[in-house]
Amino acid sequence: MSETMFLILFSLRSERHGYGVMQHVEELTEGRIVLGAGTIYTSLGKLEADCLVAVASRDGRRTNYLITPQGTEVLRQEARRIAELSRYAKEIL
Amino acid sequence: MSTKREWFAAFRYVAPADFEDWLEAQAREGWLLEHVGQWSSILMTFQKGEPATYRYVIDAQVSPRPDYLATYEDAGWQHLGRMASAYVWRRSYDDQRPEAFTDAETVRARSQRFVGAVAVAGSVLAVGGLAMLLASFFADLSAGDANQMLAAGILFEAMAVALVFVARRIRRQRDR
Repeated sequence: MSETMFLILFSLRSERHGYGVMQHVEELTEGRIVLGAGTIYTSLGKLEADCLVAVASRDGRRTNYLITPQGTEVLRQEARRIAELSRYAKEIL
Repeated sequence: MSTKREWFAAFRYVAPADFEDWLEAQAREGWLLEHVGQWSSILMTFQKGEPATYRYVIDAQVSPRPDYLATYEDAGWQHLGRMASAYVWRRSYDDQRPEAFTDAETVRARSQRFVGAVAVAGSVLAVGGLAMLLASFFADLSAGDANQMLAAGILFEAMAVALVFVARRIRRQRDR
């Protein structure tokens, strides 16, 4: 899973629309990662097609998304993998 | 206000990044693209204004989801219109050139959508051209009609071949 996908899934543990995810990821990474509009739109479409996120509600022209139980499980698996890599990384720091 | 017309710009700069760079260069010289319509790929009109620094983005979306426009607009992009399935966006900037596609995966996906659109158009032309060629030889047509059908068939096939080269050029620059 790419860093972008991980961060979007992480962000969608709460209901958010596309721009909301962009803002949250930028805040979370302290400006290190600024997702583009095309990237967030494309990624949300892929995650929805893979049933990892779903449409939670619509607010005018905006669509709010939320992680699915399947998405939560995938996010946990990825978090475990990253935590393991982090343990290895600490040995060389 | 003076205007400038550009013919077949979208066919001269077929790779999305090339087209975007060309639009940006026009804006730096004060030639501003203010509106894009269905026929802009054939004839594009620029308005003369103050030189500006705009980042343009072209994005192929055949049937976008309901939140497509809002996602871009919330992020500060101005929608200039669409040419067929190609949406054209712009955003002014000072220092940091804004990007709509910020990771390798979605940059490639954007290019692939253009390749797909070109492939569909090329396939339609190839099949249509082949039908015309067959009809020119085997259908019960007058000599004049058969010749017209033959000429149209050859034209369609030539356009289909041209689109193969367009698709290859976009693929070569799929990481931009």
